Amino acid sequence: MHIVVVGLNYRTAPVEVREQFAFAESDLPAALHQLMKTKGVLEGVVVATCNRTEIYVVMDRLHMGGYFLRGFMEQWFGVKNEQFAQHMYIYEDEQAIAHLFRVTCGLDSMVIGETQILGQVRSSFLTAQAEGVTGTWFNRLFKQAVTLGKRAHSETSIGESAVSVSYAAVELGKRIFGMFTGKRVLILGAGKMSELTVKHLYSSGAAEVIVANRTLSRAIELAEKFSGKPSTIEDALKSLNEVDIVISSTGADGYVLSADQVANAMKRRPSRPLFMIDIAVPRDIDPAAANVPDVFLYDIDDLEGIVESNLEMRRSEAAKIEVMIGEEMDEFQLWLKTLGVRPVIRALQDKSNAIHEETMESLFNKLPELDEHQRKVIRRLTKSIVNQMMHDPINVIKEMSGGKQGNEALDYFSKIFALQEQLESNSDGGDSAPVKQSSSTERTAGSGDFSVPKTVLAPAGLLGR
Amino acid sequence: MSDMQLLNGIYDAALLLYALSLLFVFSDCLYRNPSGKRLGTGLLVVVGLLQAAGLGIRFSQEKGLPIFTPYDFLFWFAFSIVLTSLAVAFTRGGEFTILLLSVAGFCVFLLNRVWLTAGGHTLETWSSVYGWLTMHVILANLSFAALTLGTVFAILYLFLHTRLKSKQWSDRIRRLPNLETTDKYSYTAILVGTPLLAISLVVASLSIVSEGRTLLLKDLKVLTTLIGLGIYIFYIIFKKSGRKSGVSMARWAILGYAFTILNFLLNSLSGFHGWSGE
Repeated sequence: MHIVVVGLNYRTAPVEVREQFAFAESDLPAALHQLMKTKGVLEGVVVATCNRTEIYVVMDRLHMGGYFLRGFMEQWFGVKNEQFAQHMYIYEDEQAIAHLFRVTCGLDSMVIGETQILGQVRSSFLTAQAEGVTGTWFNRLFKQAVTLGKRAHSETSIGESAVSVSYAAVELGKRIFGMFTGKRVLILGAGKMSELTVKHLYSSGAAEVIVANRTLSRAIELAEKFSGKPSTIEDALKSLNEVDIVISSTGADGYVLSADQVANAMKRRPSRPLFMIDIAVPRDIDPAAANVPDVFLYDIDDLEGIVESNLEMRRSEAAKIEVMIGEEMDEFQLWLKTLGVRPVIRALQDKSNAIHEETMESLFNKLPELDEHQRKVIRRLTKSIVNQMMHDPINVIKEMSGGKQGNEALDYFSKIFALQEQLESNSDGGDSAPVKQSSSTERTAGSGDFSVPKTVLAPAGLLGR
Repeated sequence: MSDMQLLNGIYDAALLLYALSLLFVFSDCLYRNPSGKRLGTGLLVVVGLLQAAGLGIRFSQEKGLPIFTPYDFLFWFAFSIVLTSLAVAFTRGGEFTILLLSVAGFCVFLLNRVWLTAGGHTLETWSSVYGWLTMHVILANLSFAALTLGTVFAILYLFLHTRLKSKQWSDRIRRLPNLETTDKYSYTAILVGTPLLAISLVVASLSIVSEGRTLLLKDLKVLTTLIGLGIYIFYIIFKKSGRKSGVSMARWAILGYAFTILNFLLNSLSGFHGWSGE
């Protein structure tokens, strides 16, 4: 069996293509059931966000798998294959698993390390599970992916730093004030950027917003959004000593705020720091104001420098997560291999139990004079002999099945103990795919010999090429 | 094995583990290392247990609370610092706070081992005011721990302030407690430590007067101690008035602590804490 993912994302497809492949949340159950009707599909999960649409499946064959999945998309979305094939990618087996892990950890996101995707993958999996279209493989794989995503965010700092200028300003403010609760914000100039920054500050608890603009009407308009107070720039500067944060973006030619004005204001508020963000070009606040004690003045270049530094930090944290992904992949591979040995061990135990039972039956027929106690003792001791005999072979095959030639070892083991009959009878009631059984001769999850083939890896290419 | 050998063995083991813990905490502060941080905190717990065992041995040796020699005083102080560090770790108060506290605690613990011994003392001559002296030493110890914590936060404040002022952004800046918090914690710790120190000194004065050894009050140590206390009282007054900046307040806090340490080092010059009263 094979794990395959096909999809498109913000890197491979522009928004006008992505919007054609958006799954409405209400349509997802029906889409999943239709996906399960696709030839070769045994399990399925659809991850659909604004930046990506991805279909994860467990298939009983790789051959023609991409063709069948494209057929499903063509049918479901009513878009011709030629229109989207060039935007799609397909990953198989190890690459598909690695891709899921990277997606869940936020490494494949537009903003590297963002956490929203983790919840989206989890929700997609839960929907698929509720619809009964996941089985042994995906139940394990997606749970492991979500756990890894959580670990990646808790054990590294990938999602902690701000990667936009407005958030960088908020992050800086938090280093000074901790919380913005009770803090007063003065906006000089009602531009878009300052509006965005004050929006973040206001949502973080800033108490009062004073909006000062050359045209009072625009100041009133913006002030209404934050239950703030409109003012002219001249009036606002008089109350500089009363505010904690100043965001300036007026578009004036010269300095709106001189270092002397700032120094005078600070004399009237000696024990409280003043955080000033000058995002205007040309600058509104005299850079010399940064030398006034307890004034923290940051201009647009400073904030962009912080964003760049944060992005660099995220990239270095991503490298740590890649190592974690490698470990998780090894763990999943090992689980798959152990999954393969389980039915063989069960078959051996069934066979030995059957032989034991038959022998006991025969013995008790030949010795009818044995009382109940004697029978119990004989049964227990002979059972112990069987168990002891089985103990070492079972341990050895468990170990060998995780090795490079695990499948071969399982095959020999089955032949040596003549387990084919048991394996076949067990696979009839085995733990297979959730909705339908594989029609192929390959075994399904919970049965004998399968593993993710290490060498069958498709390049991270695009379908249709 | 005698009690003394056992005590030294436990002390050395605690010292070694403390050093290891400090290394792990330092590695985490230098470059995020969650497993190092966990290991450092775990080792700190073991250090705390070993110190408690050591103090237990001292208790059995002295047949009472072992606090009357400089050795015991510093032993208790190091133990208080370890407990404070663990409390900070438990409340996720920040790895840099733990690092600075551990540096202070480890230095005290190491110097105590190198310079001092758990020898006998001549407190017997003070038998009539034993209870007051006990109170004095305990309060002094607690106030030292609180003032150390206050100084640690003051140092963190100055460090972060300098970094933010000079726009040197790094991962460490994000991991430090913010300016407002460090300022508040520093003030709170000093607000706790200063009255404890004041009460401890009042109790000591009462015991001196009760014993009739008023000559001791003319010792240089009394003056330096009062100056140290005065700095902290000024700190609290300035803070209450709101006329000084956070940087000035942090500098006052560090100055007060430097004076307190200096005062402790004066023990070797002064006959005050010879306990004999001569």
